[in-house]
Amino acid sequence: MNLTKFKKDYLRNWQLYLLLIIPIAFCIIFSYIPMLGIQIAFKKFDIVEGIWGSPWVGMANFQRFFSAPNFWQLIRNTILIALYGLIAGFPVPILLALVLNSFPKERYKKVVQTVSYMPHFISTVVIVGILMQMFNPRTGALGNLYNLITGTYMQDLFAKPNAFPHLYVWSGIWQSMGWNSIIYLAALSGVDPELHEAAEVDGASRVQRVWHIDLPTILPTATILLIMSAGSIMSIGFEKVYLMQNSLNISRSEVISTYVYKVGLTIGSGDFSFATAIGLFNSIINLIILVIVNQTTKKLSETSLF
Amino acid sequence: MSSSSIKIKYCTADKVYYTISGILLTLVLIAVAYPIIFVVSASFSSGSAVSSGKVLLWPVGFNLDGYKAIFRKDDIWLSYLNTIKYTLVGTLFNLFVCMCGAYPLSRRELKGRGPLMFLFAFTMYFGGGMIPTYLLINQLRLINTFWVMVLPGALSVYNMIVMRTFIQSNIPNELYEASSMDGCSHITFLVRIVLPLSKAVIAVVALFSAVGHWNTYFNAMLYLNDRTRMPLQIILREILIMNQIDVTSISDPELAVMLANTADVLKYSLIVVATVPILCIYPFAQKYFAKGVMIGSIKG
Amino acid sequence: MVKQKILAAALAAACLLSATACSSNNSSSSSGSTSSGSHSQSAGGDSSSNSSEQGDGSLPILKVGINQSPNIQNLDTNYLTLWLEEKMNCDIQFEIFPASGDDYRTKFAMLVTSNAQLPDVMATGLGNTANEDYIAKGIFIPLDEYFADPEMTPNFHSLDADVQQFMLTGLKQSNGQVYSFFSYNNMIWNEYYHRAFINKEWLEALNLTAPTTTDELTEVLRAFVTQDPNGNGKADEIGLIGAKDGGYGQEPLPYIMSAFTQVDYGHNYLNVKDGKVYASYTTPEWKQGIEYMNMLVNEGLMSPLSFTQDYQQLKAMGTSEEAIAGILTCGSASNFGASTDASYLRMSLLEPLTGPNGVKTAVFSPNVPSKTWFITKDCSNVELAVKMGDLFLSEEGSMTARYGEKGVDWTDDPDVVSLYHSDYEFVGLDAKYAVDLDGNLWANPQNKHWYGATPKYEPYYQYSKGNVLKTDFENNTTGAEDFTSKHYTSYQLEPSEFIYMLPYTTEELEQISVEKTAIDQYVVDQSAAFITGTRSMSEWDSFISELEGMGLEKYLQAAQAAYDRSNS
Repeated sequence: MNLTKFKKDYLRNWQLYLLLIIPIAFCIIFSYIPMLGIQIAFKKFDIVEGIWGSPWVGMANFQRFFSAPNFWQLIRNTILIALYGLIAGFPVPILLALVLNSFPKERYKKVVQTVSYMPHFISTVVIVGILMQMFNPRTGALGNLYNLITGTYMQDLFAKPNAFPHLYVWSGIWQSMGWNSIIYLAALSGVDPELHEAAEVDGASRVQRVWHIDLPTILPTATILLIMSAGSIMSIGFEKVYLMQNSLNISRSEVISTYVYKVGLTIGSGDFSFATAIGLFNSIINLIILVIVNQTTKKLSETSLF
Repeated sequence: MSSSSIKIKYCTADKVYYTISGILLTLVLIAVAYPIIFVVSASFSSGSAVSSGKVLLWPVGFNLDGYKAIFRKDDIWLSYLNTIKYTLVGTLFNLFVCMCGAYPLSRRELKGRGPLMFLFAFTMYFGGGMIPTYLLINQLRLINTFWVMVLPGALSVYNMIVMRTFIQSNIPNELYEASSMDGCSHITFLVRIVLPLSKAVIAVVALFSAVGHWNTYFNAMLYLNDRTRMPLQIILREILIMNQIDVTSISDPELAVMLANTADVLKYSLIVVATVPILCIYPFAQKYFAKGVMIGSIKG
Repeated sequence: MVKQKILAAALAAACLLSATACSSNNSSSSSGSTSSGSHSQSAGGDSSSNSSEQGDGSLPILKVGINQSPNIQNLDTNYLTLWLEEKMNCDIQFEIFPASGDDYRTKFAMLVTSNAQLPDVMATGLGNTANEDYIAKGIFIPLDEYFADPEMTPNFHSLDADVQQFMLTGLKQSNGQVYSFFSYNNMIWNEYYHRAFINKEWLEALNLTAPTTTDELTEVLRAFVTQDPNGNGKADEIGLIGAKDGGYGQEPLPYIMSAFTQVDYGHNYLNVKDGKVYASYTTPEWKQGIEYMNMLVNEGLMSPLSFTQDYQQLKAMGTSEEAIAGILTCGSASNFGASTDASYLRMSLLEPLTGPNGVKTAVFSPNVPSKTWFITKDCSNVELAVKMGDLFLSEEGSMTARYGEKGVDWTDDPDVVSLYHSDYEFVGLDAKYAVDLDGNLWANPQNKHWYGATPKYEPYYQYSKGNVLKTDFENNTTGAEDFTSKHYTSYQLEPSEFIYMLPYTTEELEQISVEKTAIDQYVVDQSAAFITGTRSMSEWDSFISELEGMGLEKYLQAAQAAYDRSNS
């Protein structure tokens, strides 16, 4: 009985499975097969012996990481910066998309939209260069402006450990808010204009319509993106932090990725086992957070990743 | 009487809203325009002005040296062409694979949707790392081929999930039920109904993929050996890192300082040269975000 | 309905087709390129082993792995490549590696671990620690016997015996053998790159003389900051400023600290005394230096921006029309613009300072032979590779490798050379060559040389050069190079008082990687914290005990072992 139902179902929907074969094949070949290599986290990887030939060392690579003098500082800084980035960075593109979408002047809207996504294409090295120049109290654009207005010199923000998370996060928002809002703008195209017309007739203000019509439309997309980014809380990119670091802000700016890089430099051919071990550690924590957030949103909004 | 007064009240509320959003957008515009203007100005400035931080907003010592130097390099045009090829083919591939995954995963009829989604999502957070991936690609004999720039990244789970979410939330389930009554199969439904209705998200995914391919550096660095296959980003990167001097590894540091000065001129021009083409595709994508595209097509 | 079915079937077919099409396409293209790949590989393998024997008219091939420099137009048509091919009667092919050091190491590691065919020669080393690791794994082959054989390395053998010995000692790896050629450029200018430049105009305006002691430095800085030397009525002058690391001598710490104790910047401030390696930052003298700098910052004489801004912002200060700072710590005069700029002409070099205890040293970063031209285990024509490496060591080879085409980019024509100011006039040497004749050899994409990625031997006493016309020299130079030679070299240390190298073994590095990373960084960061007052000097003792807790002793033991090895 059940079997025939299953068979019937399958006969009806076989094309779905057929289509899925393609992404599943790619997924298995290029993601799952290389995962066998994770074993080098528990080995002392020898570049000549290869993955399978290298000797096992148990948890030694992990212990080396845990025994780092600044281990807790690394964890704290990493999570703090990532969490802050998530909380501050997540709503901004949504806000931008909602405002852009409801703005009546089409041409101006297009200009803002186009310009705001451009900084995404400027490489990190250059963005950090621009930042450091802007904020220099003596030679920078903002520094000079400050001096012109107040007659005194601006504080050096790069020297303040507590300013580092703000600098990092807000420069990131500055660079990518336009880019990140694209997806919401696309989702907003799904709104039925008749809904707006009807609401207008009922006397709803523009703000009310944004709140009651536009926002619910993009909520599923926003939830999914939130879940996905919550799952990468342990992985802060290396390059930008590294470039923005200096001796005076290091107590807040040293994160896991920059630390791994520095340790890796001391060992010539690259300490792949160590890097893999730390990557694995991060992945596990990320995955745990991902599952927790996913289950929570599932309960709250019935939108979930899996 | 009363209704008209209400209307006026709402109009004021709207006016306030539009004023505030206008101000907000202008602030955003100023903030994001600064780095753009800076990069463009720097690319037209003299090397010494750039490397000594004299360029703040407008070009200082206007000249085209950076651009001339870039186009004097022999491999620049070829790398341009390569990047365009990788981007075109890679994006088409991404869209195809993405669609094949997104549509089935958006259907309730699919058994085991939850576990399958987990299987995909898992790969976003767990990876084998560089070495096993390299060895696999080596075994597949993809090293130094055109396809190494396309196949390993053909499935973007992120894009697939974005697309799935869009289909799920924007295409009513009743639509399929109604069509299937008419004997419409899944693939027919996908092609005739879902694709036309998903233009906006397809545009987004295409944009994401294209930009991803355009900016690929690491895979090209790792998997390509032949100079004639290198994409533009490799050359951009070479110039960007030129001014990261490491005195301990250079036998002639003073020389490295001179090199860094050259790099300062070149890097801005190269960013402009490398970015303008990809910026041009945005307006095309933007067209599909217009309000009501989707509903219009359902009715039409 | 029928139509829909047909469409569905067609689509399914198309779907499958495109899948197979892409896979067949893929396989055909990949097989195509692998066959071409294997073709070129076999061509490479065959010809380098066979052609020389078979004499079928094709030239022996040498495959050179090299970092891509964006300033080279095209390696295949490069003048140096053609010159070498003609001299050696061979065909040079290139395998290009990424320009960035990290990516270069990564890519090489991937080649090794996937058992790929390596190039015959790696023109650039991978960095000391990586070289050591690959040697231990047999990736590079030892060259001792080739260096011992005058037939194989005639140009090396034409060098003075003590020079040969110096080079061989410098090239030795931790196992005592030699695996590479060398690039050696004896420039005093580069040996003392932690320098400071002072604003002469400000000195004149206030009627002061250049400081020679730390006390005088304090006085001069105080005058700069309080007596308005730029005369604009505002107290906007910066006393002393530098920049954070990653450049060429811009950190202020080493220059000032050298008035308190001997500073070894290159070895993370480790020193040696009576054969024993110690950390200079644990000594009372170091603490005194930190206190002095802390005082400078507290009194507003030294800018804490020195620890956060990068070289670019320092340069912006150095080149600004209105002078911003009185003293800038940096190694290169290029931080003040072109040699005709007012910003350049107002600066002059300071000599090393004498500290309160009478200590006066210069931060010494000795020119040591840097390792290049490693021959790999896959090299099928070692003799050719060695002979080409040796060719670079000839006078013409070194000049061509660095400056390009003879007669065009450089010359030994006495009529031309006599117009040029010799780099080493101060020791009475006339120029033997005139170089950089068109004035922008290093600044543009060029096609004359490989941007320094080759072995070379350039001792000043042998090939003194000129690149500035005598007429120009008289008008506009700070004379910084001459000054360095006069005032800095007199503090050169005896070899026994200085660590020339620390050849750690890979095992040692693996054991201390966590400690070394943490301590080296902590010392720099905490020094900055103490100097700027972020951390109170009263916590100095706890800083020392923190270092011990981080494994300083273990680190020093490893350093001691490496040092002993280099002297054995």
